[in-house]
Amino acid sequence: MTSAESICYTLIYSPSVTDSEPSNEMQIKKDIEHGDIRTKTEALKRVILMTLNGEKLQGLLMTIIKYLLPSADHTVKKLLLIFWEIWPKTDAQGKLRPEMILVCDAYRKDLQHPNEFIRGSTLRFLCKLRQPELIEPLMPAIRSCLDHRHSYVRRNAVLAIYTIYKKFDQLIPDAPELIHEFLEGEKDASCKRNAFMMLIHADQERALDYLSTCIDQVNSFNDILQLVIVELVYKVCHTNPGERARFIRCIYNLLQSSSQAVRYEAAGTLVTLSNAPTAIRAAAQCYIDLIVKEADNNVKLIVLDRLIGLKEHPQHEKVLQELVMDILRALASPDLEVRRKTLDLALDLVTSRNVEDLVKFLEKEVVKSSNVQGHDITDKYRQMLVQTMHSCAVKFPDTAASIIPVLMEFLGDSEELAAEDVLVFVREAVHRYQNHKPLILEKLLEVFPSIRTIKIMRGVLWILGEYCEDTSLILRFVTEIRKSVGELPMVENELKIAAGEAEEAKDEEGKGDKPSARRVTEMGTYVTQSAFSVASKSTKDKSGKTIKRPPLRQFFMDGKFSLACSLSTALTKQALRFLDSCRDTRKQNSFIAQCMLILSSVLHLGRSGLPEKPISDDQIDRVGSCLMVLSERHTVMGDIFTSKCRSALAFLLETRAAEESVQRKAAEKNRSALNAIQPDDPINFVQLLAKAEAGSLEDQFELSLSAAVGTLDQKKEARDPAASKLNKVTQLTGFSDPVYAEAYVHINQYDIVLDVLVVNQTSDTLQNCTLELATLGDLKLVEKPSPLTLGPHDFANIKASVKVASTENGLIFGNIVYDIAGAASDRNCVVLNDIHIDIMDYIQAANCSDAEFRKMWAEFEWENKVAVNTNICSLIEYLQHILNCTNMKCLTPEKALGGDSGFLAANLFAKSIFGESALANLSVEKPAGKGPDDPVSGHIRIRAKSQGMALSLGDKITQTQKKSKK
Amino acid sequence: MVLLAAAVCSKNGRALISRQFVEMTRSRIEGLLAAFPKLMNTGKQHTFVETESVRYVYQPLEKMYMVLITTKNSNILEDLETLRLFSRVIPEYCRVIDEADIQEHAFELIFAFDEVVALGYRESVNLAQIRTFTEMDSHEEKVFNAVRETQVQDAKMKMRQRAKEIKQKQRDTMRGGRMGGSAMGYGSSNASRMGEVITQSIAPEPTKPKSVPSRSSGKAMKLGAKSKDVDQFVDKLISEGENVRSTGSLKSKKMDIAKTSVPAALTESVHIRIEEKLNITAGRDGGLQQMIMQAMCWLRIADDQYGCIFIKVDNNDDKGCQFQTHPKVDKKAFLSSGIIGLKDPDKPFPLKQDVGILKWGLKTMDESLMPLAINCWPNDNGEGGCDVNIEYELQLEELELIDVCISIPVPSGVGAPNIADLDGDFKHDSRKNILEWTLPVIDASNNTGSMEFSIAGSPDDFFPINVSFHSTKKSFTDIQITGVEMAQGRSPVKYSSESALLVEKYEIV
Repeated sequence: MTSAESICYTLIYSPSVTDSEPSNEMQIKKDIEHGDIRTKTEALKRVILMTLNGEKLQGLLMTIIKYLLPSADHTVKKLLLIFWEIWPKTDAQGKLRPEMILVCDAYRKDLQHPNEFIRGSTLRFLCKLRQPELIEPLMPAIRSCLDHRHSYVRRNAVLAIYTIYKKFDQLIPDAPELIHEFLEGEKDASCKRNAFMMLIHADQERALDYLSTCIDQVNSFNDILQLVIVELVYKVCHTNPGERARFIRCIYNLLQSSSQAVRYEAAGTLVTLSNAPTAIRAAAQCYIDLIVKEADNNVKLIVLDRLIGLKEHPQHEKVLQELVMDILRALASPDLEVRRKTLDLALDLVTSRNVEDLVKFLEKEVVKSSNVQGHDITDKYRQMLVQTMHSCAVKFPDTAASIIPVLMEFLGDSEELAAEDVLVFVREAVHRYQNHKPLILEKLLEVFPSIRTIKIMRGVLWILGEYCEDTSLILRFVTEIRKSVGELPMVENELKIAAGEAEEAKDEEGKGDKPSARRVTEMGTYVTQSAFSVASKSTKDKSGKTIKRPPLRQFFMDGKFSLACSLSTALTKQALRFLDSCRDTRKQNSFIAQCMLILSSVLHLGRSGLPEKPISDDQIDRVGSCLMVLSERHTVMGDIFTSKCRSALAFLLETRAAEESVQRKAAEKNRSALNAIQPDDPINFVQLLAKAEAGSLEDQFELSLSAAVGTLDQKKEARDPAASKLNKVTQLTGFSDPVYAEAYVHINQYDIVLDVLVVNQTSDTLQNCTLELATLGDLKLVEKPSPLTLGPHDFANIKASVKVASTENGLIFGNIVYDIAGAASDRNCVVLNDIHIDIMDYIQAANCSDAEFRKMWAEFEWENKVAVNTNICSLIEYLQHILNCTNMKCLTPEKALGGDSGFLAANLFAKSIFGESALANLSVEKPAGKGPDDPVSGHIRIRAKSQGMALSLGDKITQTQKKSKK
Repeated sequence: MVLLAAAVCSKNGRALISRQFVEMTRSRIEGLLAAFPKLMNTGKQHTFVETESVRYVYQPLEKMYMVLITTKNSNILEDLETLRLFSRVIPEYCRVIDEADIQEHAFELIFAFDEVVALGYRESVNLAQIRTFTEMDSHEEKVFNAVRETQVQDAKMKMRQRAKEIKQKQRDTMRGGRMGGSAMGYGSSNASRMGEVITQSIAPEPTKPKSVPSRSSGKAMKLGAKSKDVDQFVDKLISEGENVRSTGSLKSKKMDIAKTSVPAALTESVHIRIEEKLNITAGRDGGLQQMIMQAMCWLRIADDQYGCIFIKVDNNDDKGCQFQTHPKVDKKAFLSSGIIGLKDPDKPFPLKQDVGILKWGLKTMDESLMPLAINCWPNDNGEGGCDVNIEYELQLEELELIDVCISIPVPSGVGAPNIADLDGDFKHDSRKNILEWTLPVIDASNNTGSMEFSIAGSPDDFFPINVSFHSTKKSFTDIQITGVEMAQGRSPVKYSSESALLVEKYEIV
């Protein structure tokens, strides 16, 4: 057994010890033999550290037994305990070393030591001992410790007996009785807990017996004892569901325990005990209470997870639905993560019955949060609230009426985050809910003058342009626009203002008026004075004074002419609609003329050089084309403007809804598949199941423990040993070499075990046959394999383990060195083939949101650009191929990949088991002007945080991107 | 709740020390610790990370992280508590928390970590306790050492003395020729004495198997409103089809077993059981119609070496009971000196069976001897209903009655009674038409109590009232076993005893 696979209780990082040369073994020996207590202690510490780092100091064993074991010093005694923990107690054949008998005797004495702490820590050490031969002579001493006066000794004695009974029950077959008796006479809470814990694991019957004697006092117990009682109840009910009824009352009592930990545990157990709504409600309420009362975010998040878990069960969900409003109390926490989880949960649970309350609550929260402005977190929180309300409105269209007005207030918000979401919502609402349309438009027109961000302005312009259909509304819209644009034509007006400014500047010098008073006289043209004086961006003119302009004009003066495009489209649409709705040619003409005036004056302004940046050519084209449409009034164009836009939106919303419903259905299907029992499913009878088969009934605690300790994987592997093993055999030397070697590369999660078979092909005895390994990349050899002697045509297995720290293509190389017995020649050497470690074993497909992807894309430092060089001719096929050979997941939805466009772009994502993310972007096209049988071309860009990851993933792609012809 | 490991990591992700509390392989723990820095999220407001198999809970400590690795369904509240303790332990040993300092104090920290967690479970300890545990300053050891020192001194003194004596003797022999006799072996006697001291100091205290005072009913510990809460909860569960067994029934089942055969663990080889049964009929207007008490004392001997014994009985009866011994028991000895033994002191009692050795009884009309007097006053309130006042009074205050249940019949089909005032607890069983007034314990501290309720019906509807209770603390007749002795030699014998007062029938008609 290599040290990597042995049980390990202590790890200490100590660079100084590993660096120093091993020759100081003599020094240590001297220190231990002749030094005073202090140097002895130091020397012992060094020995421990060196042993932990894989040094083998076999020569020191007798020295330590001789000089340190009899020491009375407490520190030495305790250090020795650690020393024996890590010291190999058996020889290579797995036999106990004879020296250990001496050690054993020393421990018998320590178990009778007058110092209770020495007794206690010795007992604790015995918990870790795995040699029954060593424990056997100690049994009487251990038993007597159970009656010691000090609780410290007693409680450790209980633990020692527990572990000994668990491992070697023949040594103390009466342990359960013993402990049961002990438990009944015990007063100390800690001892009681340990004893009770022992009974739970060793003899549930007795534990139950004891519990029934004190089931009524449970509430008065210490919290750690209560915790194990809950564990017992869980375990008993798990193995024997018939017992459930006995404990519901007890668990309910514990649900009101003063210790939060107990309450949490009890709630979890109560859910497993009963499916009755009352029980679930009690548990859920307890959880909610914990979330609200416990200040720690960790608790909040984990308990929320438990609630979410509870929701999975359809019966439980109903109970939780009634508690939605309580759950929302968790929003009081300032942590975004908690709030997001809470809102998601609430949204999942909300039903038509309580959606009203939910919306009201959210509204209140929104108002509350808008009072605290300018904080990054509150902005994000507000965004979340808006998104939640949006989803509410989608789920329950009836609530839209009450949600819309609240949300519309946000459009005037200076923060984009929330306002953008509102806009998306409004767009959807105005499209879907015909009956709310007038209300929405009305509101939009109202807030229009107060909009301060360009993105929002564009969105609002689009919506208004698209959906104002009555003549009156159209007229109102245009008036709003005119107000917002300011006095026309703009260029003259601006010039005038500039000139006026200059004059007034002169006046000012003469009069010496206060600037604030004058500011009023300078304004004149705009309407939304109050909103502006607070928020509109003010530019400095030459004389250094601020000029207030109406919003749209302000945007234009700042050079943001992208707005001009939206404005022109909106106006054109409106004009075309006006033509449809109003039959009076004079009015038609005057309306169109008005629109054209606005647009042309915008164009003029753009070219005049007054704004900070002139209008771009594209934008001129766009406005110009709109002007043309207006002047020509062509029906084809009219059709595009009036109806095609809307149908495009409709299509977008439809596909999105369809996608969502597909997802939802898939999720539901999953759920129902989980819950549904097929008619031909086997029925498990608990009584008839063998222990090993009871997979589904396995105790959650045990399960999670074995998963955590890592034994679960091994079990699974044991089932199909041969299948995978044979694929991974690497030949290390040639068949005609004097030593033949091959290795089976076993890749665990964090380490690689090389199982090397070494065969002596000569008829000589090979002495000191050593496998020397070295690594390249982020690999570390844990320990050197020890040398061995091979007889003629003999073979041996050598195990070596290598630790992997990150995802990188690693290389292990080395040689085998040996002496031929009797020959005078130098050491012989056989060089081994390199072993390549494939990173694909470490990469797993993972998922992340678009936003996260973009964020990481911007953050990651290493980019590897790989040119596509393949023989694959189809874009989709190429993508599939890359996905298959890199284990990555395609984030771009399938819909977006469809179509026959001749190019394809997709985002890929994966995570290594070490938690590193790898991003890739695939951009490929069918080269233009070539036949369908030509290969695709393009680039793949890989980004990762570490260089190794980006490089090795790139290598992998380069290697595999050509598809092997079948 | 299982804590796998506690570790201290530096900010750049190196695990400085780690102590595991469950068995796990080195490669596994190293892998877990190596993965931690990559998983750790900065900028979030929570400090835990979950992977597929484990959960990390951590806390920054200056330049370090204190990390706990737990199972996924470990109790987070408990883990945080542990984490807090761990991170308070570290500054106790390291002045500046940096890499060098942690390395220097690695062993102290590991010792301290060991005290916090046992086999993955948190111990309830505080910082001060951890200090004492790791300092290992034991008073007993000091005493032991002092004793040993004086012994060594003594021995030396003696040695010198003996040496002198020997020299003297040698001189004598020299002078007086061969006198013979040597003085060897004092050293060995000395050593054996020292060994004796050691064994004495660790001699186990005799732990008497304490029979757990068996509180009988599940309701015994529940108080006021809370118990009502629980009951409501349970009732609701039952109404939802969940099968809830009350702890009371569980216990009473236990009691039944206890009556027939006491668990072997609780009894000594000599076990004496006293059982008193009450049969009371009282009138509704007060006054005792008849009260019959029958009592029996049983003896059970499990070990044949205790066959011939005497039992000493302290008879404080002041109620005028009629005593009757088993024919084979020496009656005179009992009446004169309160000793129960066989007439033939050499003959043993029968083994391994319950033998009735003493019987007594009481038949009386004396109201003052009733353990519990019940007074029930139904009043017609003129609206077709009754206001019922019912009160109890514990007349023999030395008794402690457990699980008192007063069942009052109520008219059927008129709904639940309206309880106005109540000591204790009540339950309305609409199927049996009984209102149960239950009191977990009645003793001198609550020797009177009352209940008031109103319900439709006539005053006659509320009778007969049934009362049940039992008591194990004190016997009704106040007879006590004071000791058991061997017939020969009068040496005391270990025995166990129990007494029970049961109600066979207690009716108010």
